[in-house]
Amino acid sequence: MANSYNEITRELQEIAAEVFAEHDIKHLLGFGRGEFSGLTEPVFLKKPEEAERLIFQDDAAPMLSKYLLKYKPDLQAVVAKPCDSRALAYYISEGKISRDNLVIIGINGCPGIAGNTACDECDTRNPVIVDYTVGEEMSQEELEAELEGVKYLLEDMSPAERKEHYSREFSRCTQCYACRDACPVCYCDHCYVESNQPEWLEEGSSADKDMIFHLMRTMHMPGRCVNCGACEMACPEGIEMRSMTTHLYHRAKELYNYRPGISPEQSTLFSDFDKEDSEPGFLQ
Amino acid sequence: MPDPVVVVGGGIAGIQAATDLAEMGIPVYLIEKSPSLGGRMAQLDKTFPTNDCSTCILAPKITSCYNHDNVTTYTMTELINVEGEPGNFRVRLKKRPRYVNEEKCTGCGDCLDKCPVSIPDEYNMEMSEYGAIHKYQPQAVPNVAAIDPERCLKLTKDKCGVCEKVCNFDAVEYEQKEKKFIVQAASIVYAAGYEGFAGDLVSEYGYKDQDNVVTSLEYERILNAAGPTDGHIVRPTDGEEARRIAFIHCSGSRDRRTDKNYCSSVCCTYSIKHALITKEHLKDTEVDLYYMDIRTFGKGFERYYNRAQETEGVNFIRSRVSEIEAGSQPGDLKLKVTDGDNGFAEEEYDLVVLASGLAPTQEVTDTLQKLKVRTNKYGFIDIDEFNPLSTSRKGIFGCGAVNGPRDIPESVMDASGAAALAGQHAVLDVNDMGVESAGEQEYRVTQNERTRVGVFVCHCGTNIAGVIDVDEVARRAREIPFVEHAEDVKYLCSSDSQELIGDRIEEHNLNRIVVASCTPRTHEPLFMDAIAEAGLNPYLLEMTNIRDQGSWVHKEEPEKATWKAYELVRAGVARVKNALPLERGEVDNIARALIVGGGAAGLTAALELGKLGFPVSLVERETELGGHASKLEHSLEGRPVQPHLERLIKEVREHELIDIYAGHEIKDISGFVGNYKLELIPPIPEEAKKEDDLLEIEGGVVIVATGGQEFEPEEYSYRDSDRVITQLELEEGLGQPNGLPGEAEELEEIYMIQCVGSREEDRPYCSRICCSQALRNAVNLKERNPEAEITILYREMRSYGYYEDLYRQARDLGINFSRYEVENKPRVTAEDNGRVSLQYEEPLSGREITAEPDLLVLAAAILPRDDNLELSQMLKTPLNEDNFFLEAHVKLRPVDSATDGIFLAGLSHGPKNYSESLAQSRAAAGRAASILAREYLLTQATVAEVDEELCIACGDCERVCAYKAIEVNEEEDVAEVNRVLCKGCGNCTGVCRPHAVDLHGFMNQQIIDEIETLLAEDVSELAKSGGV
Amino acid sequence: MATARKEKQEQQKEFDPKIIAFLCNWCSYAAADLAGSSRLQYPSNIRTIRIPCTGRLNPLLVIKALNKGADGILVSGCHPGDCHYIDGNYYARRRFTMLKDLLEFSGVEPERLNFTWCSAAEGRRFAEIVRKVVDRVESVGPWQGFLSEPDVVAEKEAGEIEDGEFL
Repeated sequence: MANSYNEITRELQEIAAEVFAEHDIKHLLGFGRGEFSGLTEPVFLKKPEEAERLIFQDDAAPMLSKYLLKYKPDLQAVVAKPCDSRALAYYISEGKISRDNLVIIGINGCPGIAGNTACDECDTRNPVIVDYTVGEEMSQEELEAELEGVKYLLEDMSPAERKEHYSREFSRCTQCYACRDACPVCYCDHCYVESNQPEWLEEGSSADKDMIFHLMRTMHMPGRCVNCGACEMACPEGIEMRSMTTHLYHRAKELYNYRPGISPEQSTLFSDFDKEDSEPGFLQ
Repeated sequence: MPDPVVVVGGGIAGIQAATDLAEMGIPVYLIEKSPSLGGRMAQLDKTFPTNDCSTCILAPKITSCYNHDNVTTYTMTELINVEGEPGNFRVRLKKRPRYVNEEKCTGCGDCLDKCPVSIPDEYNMEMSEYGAIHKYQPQAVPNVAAIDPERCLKLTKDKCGVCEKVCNFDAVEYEQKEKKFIVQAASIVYAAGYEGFAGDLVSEYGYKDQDNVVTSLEYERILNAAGPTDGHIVRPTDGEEARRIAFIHCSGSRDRRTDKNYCSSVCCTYSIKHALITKEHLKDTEVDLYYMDIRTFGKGFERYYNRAQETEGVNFIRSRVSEIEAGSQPGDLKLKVTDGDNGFAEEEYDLVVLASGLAPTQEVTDTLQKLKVRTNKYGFIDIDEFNPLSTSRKGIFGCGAVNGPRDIPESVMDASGAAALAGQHAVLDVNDMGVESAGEQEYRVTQNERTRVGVFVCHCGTNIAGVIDVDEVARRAREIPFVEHAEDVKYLCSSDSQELIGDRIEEHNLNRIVVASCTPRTHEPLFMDAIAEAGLNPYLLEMTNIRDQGSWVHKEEPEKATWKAYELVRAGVARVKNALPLERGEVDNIARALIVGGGAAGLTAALELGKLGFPVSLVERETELGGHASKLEHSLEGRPVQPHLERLIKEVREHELIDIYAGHEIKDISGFVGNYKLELIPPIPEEAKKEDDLLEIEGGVVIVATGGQEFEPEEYSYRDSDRVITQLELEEGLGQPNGLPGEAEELEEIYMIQCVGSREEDRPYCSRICCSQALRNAVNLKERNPEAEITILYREMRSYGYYEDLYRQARDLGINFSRYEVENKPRVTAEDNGRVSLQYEEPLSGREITAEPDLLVLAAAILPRDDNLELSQMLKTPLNEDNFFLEAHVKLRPVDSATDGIFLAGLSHGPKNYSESLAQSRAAAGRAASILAREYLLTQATVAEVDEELCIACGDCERVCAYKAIEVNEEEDVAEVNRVLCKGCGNCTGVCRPHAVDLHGFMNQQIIDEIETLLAEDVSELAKSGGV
Repeated sequence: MATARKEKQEQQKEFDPKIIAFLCNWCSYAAADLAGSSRLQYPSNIRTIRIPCTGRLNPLLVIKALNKGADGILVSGCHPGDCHYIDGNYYARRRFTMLKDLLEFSGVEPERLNFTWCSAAEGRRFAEIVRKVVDRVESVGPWQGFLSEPDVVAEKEAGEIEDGEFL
């Protein structure tokens, strides 16, 4: 069973105090109420007294994991949704952050984020690496029951229908790159889209170029994307682009039994192979 | 510095021997009788079985040999005599006057047209003419003119002198005299080649009277784009296109009347080549080949034969031509042909090509006599089967066609082997052999210059220009942005074209070069050298392949091929404009050879390398050395093999530089040239095994000599009856008492079946040795029991070379031969009494014959070893379609594998007999030595580079790199490339998410530019607008 | 728009597809050379880009080629196990599988995306591959971009300036 937001919030506040007491952390990163927006936003807590500022609500959309990389040499605590915990495992596998510098407060039985379609098909409802947990774990049976019959995005469409779908969607894209910026596993200092030597992505905005941007971005994602849905949540135009990354997320699982960020020890999808890997659709 | 070696003969064999010796650090005097290097191969149009353009593959080799620091070439020079001992020969030489100063002449050709005299062009087999002053061939090396003293007006009558007047370089010197001089040499490699014989030997073929009867060498020139007919297949008498052509195999070979009973070995396959190329030139021409047996026994030849059989209009006619006379129309020829039982048939042709054989020239035989080198009855060097490439005189070695009929790869093998033997007398000093050096040359600094691209489009004779409008390509190239200069050139690979490129670089201050010609896989080094010579960094070159992947494959679409060529040139310009000047690095070279396989091949290679002074580690999986050879009773000449093998094993065991790892399995192979590592599993009983038992040995090169295996027949009741055995089992049996079912003396009726498992649909290759082996065994049996009735059922009798003598002997001894067709194989059934019953069709009468032989001997195929695949994967070097190891180039690199530093010897490379295996092993030793002799090797320049700004240190590059050449530096949080280890595969570049790693020579920007240019709309527009 | 479509249909009649072939230097490029030296004829539609290894080929370059108007793609390397660089083609295989999957998911016809292996000894196979790829690409017609034409684009164009209008 998924836990309730209020229960999680209560437990978080309790545990935060504990974490401050037990670890010499630089800060604790969690969610709090935005002073002006009134929405749930990331907060950096410095003192145990601030623990009661922590909340967890159905609009806790930002991926906190992404905020950590900046402070990686310091010991820091973080509240992690299951998808965040996978991003963290992924960082560790790439040597981006040391496990020793992390105190992870994981959210068990994550109830999901309102409006995030990725949560409807989420296959990771408990965090994969934790030091502390809040909420009750969701059992494998429960998870499977919830996923029963769930179709992932655009699964039922034909390629031609998808082509039309994307043609429609990307006509609204302004190439603001909010999707990229929100993505926990997009952390390059210089993105390919900003490179003009070579110019991977040509200047100017048109639906065609937007499509190329997303195709290229997606090809950076297999074996990285944890299917958190942050990209789509961040889009000011409400463009549905997650289906591309999600599709490869599921295909990698089917073809290579590969799920990114499941363990800090795992190799990335593209830096590994099996001699018996299948060759679907290759010319014989 | 080691003592020098003299190499006599500047054909492909001499060039290979000279190059290998030079690479070992040995000074070489290369002696060539004619005014140019190149020999016979330079006269050939194409080479079988790939139909590679002969000149194209030879020219780069000649150039690099001629330019080698350790090679001194004397053209127009002959050997007079030799005195002294191995290690200290005094070689007396005679250099004829060229009447042109070789230093001063630039080969510009200004004098050539001015000469008022015309003489027959020797290079074109006297089918065309050139002046008394001429270049021996268009691509002469050295690229210098020569004067014929017997026809020159100045030299004969003191008139004319026009060549001296027009020469801008004061190079003409009428006063030159013959020079005699002596050079000291440690040893001598004799590679003086052959002459083609045919016509004059068989008067019935009317070669002398009928002008439209030509020899195969003449036909090569006719086919050649640079030949007397510009590559048009026309009749010498009237210049009419030949629509019906007959090729007569064995013209003069296999003929008692000519005293040339031997088979010349190469004529069958080159005639097939002629047939195929003729059909390419003239689709509707009828091509008839008259033959006795088709002897396509070499590697890949059977497939070539099959291809010809499938080609419409190519007819193979098994028949002997008895006479050629004038036909019904002027110039036509009438062939009288024996026609099975029906007596004679007559057929008319426009042109007849005599497949001439190979024979030593009289001069070669005379010289060999002067050298006190024993010759055989045919005038070739008399070769000891067990000591091939050596001669009867110590310190003198033979290679190529002086050793007997040889094709090009066999000549090249001979040459590398002779180099290994000759080098042993030169006393190599392993510690003093830095041959190559890196980064010594200073190049022009081009970084701050405006990009100025030079484009050179090659005609390659008509190879390209026959399909692609090269002029149009060059013309359009001039309009491409950044192109400063573009031109089309007849043969870009010729040495004068190389100079021309240099001149153009200077003239137009070019700083990028695009060469549109053949494949960069073979010719890139040549053009890199050419632009380096002109002071330009060699990596500022781009080659576009408009021949192998252009004119040759789009012959039916000349306009499209032209546009494709233009687009490729345009893309080449786009790619090269962002090329960076690059340099190579150095890597240590381990002076030790690792030899895999302890059979005769491996042992021989080990011994020769040991004698050259290189340490060797020899690995054999069995505990005993000797391999397959230990099963051989006698050689094909009938001499016992075991004493030779035992001596070989003893010498190897006693050699101080050779370590033997018998009983060791190979677990893994890693590394690369200069630095190979073998992980061995020592022979430790299972129960005593420990984790760290593995043994590691390291070396600079690997020689693969793992042997082959005999096919175990599934047919002909082999499994059901003891009376059915293989030829190898017969040999073994002959050596032992009771080795056969019944004593050899008592076996009265013996049948042999050839091609068991070979030349089948799923194994379309000839096992090469079985015919000669069957003949040898049959003769042996017949000698033991003259009463025995022996019948050999064969498809083609492939007793090539001197084994034809064996065939003759077998026939004279009364051994029966009966041919069968593959569709109608003999049928064998096992009887209850342990005997077998055999049925076959007698081809002449068509009668069905039933026999119950005492013994049925099957010529079982030679197979690649089952574990070749595994080994090839460990070695990272490919196998061919039949699972034998694939050579780097079928013609010119027959012992090199596709991977640097890995060489092939013996049956692992393909079927061959004992003597041929020994020769190839010596060749492998020679090739290996040319690498081992270097103190260090140069690394690639095209390595990966990391942009530290972009790198996110994710480690993907490190994980995918097979060479540990790129690693994340944790301190700096950035990936770093080890340039020495990097092999330039670009796997890191392919996986890098921020595109921080890039690969020099194949940079992202370059490839993107290439893509964009290839797909640029305006190019297509141009294409559509026509213009061609 | 209708005229544009008509024009395209007319072009389709004499459709001469342009196929970008990324060939590994050691196997497939050598096979292409062998096809040449064996004089095996194949259509002139391919434009080869020589790469050292299929491992070199960043998937973005394939997207780029389609973006630039290639009607089809051929990527050919050494057979699995034969890689000159040990295992570059195994890594490449995963990248291509994912790339092919994504592009097909997004509406690119599978016939345009051709990945295969061809050894240096397989000149004949190479010629056959080219013929096959050309057939496949011809069967789906000219490539018209990643997005479908209809209204969507029209809707967008209403408020926008066509590329190159100022030039």
